[in-house]
Amino acid sequence: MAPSRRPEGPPALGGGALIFVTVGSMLPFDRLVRSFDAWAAAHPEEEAHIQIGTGRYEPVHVPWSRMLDGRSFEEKVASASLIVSHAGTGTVFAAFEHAKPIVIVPRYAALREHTTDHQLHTAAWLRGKPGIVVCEKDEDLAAKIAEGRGLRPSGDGFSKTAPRAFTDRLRRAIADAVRRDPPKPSSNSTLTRG
Amino acid sequence: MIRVALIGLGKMGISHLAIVRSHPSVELVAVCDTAGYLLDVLSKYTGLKTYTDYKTLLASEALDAVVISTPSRYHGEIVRAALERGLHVFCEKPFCLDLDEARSLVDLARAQGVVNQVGYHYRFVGAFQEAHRLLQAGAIGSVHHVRAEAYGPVVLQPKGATWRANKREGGGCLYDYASHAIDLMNYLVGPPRAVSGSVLNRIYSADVDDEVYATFDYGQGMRGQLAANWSDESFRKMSMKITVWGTDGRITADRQEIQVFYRGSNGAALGLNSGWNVRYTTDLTSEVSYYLRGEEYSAQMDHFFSSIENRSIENVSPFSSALLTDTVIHQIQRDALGERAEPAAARPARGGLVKRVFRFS
Repeated sequence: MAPSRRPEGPPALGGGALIFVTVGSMLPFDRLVRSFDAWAAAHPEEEAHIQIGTGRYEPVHVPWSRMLDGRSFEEKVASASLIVSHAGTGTVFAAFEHAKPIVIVPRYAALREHTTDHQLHTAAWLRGKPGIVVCEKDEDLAAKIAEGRGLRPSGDGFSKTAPRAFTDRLRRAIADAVRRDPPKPSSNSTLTRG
Repeated sequence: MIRVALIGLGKMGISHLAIVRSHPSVELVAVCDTAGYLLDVLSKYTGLKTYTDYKTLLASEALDAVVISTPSRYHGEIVRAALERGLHVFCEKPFCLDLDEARSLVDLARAQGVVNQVGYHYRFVGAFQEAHRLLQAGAIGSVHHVRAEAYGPVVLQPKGATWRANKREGGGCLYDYASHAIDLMNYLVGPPRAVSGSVLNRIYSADVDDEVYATFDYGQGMRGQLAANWSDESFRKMSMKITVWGTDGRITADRQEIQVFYRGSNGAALGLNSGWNVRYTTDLTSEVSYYLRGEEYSAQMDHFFSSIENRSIENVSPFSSALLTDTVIHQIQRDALGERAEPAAARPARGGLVKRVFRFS
């Protein structure tokens, strides 16, 4: 499915802005897909897309794909006004990078949605940070989406790279180390790291 | 408390650092790496004792065990030094780049009577463990074919920044990706007698292979096929899928689930229905105390440390099975170069499934 191409910049709040929903790339998460599909049925004017992974339930009221490749996923996040996702750090960081508000629905080990309850811990750690809403009950999803829409950007200036001052310091440290002890390609008595 | 040191703090080392430090039975005594800036940061924020030379570390600290996650070409000498001191050893995969070295370390570990384990963590994923259990029970009759596939988005453009892009250092898809698939094939059906039709192809890399294909010969007409490619971005993460065909059915397992198609007559005893059976990894996994990147990373460490506590030398992923995996890697390399591959090492007692299912072997 071709990614939608929206103009850059923040979309107007309210209708018409894409909500991108994802269950991540590791395990199915039918509970989230069903809940959101029900929400979409009640909000036919809204534009949304779900990446449903290997789940059995296929949405009826919203366009979906099984698995987007990395670039298409990135484009979806960039063109969305709101992300709704499982509490996977990959998705959360993608939302942070694009400063998109995100509604996080943690998976429960008891419902066999994951192997452990670590997503609850991730959600607890994220709760209250800018641009984050945590949705722990299916019946709260509509309210949490409405809340998420009113949020300021997430990520608090999150960047994929460390601050320039830090990388400069690192560069100097490596250069100094190499000057002091030039790498010996045939040496096998000391550890050298690539 | 088990006194442990960590040697090598790259991608896997940092991951092991978090898991080891959170383990209730373990005291992390010291860490070792050659990157001074990394050690500075670590000691500043964690107070950990740091070393830049593993020999000094081993000579200075009272230890029970080491975790080794250096670039692969250093595994041999560091494992040896640790074994000579009588330490239990967890070593990252692949085990050794040199087969003779791997063989002698298997013997040394056995002579020292220490716990020895290699980081083939797929053996700790619920669906693959269930596949192993069923195959050990002979659930699908005589096994006649096996196929393993591993794909993922590691190298997607020409680059060569780290040791993983260097052939002499144990870089490349064969060592990094295919090794896991080979190890699982060995875990489930035992090692092949010979390897043919091997392809080690570059797509983007200058020095190493990006895709690996090979045919395995198990004797008695049984064959296996391996396909691995780490330059496929249609997969968002590493995927691993293995299928085993037998006279009584078929087993397919991946990170997510195990599917068994069963047509035998002993279903009740095996817990299998006639036709399709699906069980999810989430149902087959016991809770680990700490989760990072997947429960299998913690599960393999739990196994290593509980083996030390229980003085149990039997291991799910011992040096001896890693040697068999190294041997197949070596066979593929030689076969791809057009040399005749040497016969595989003797089959381990526990992995002798192929031998067992062929009544006339």
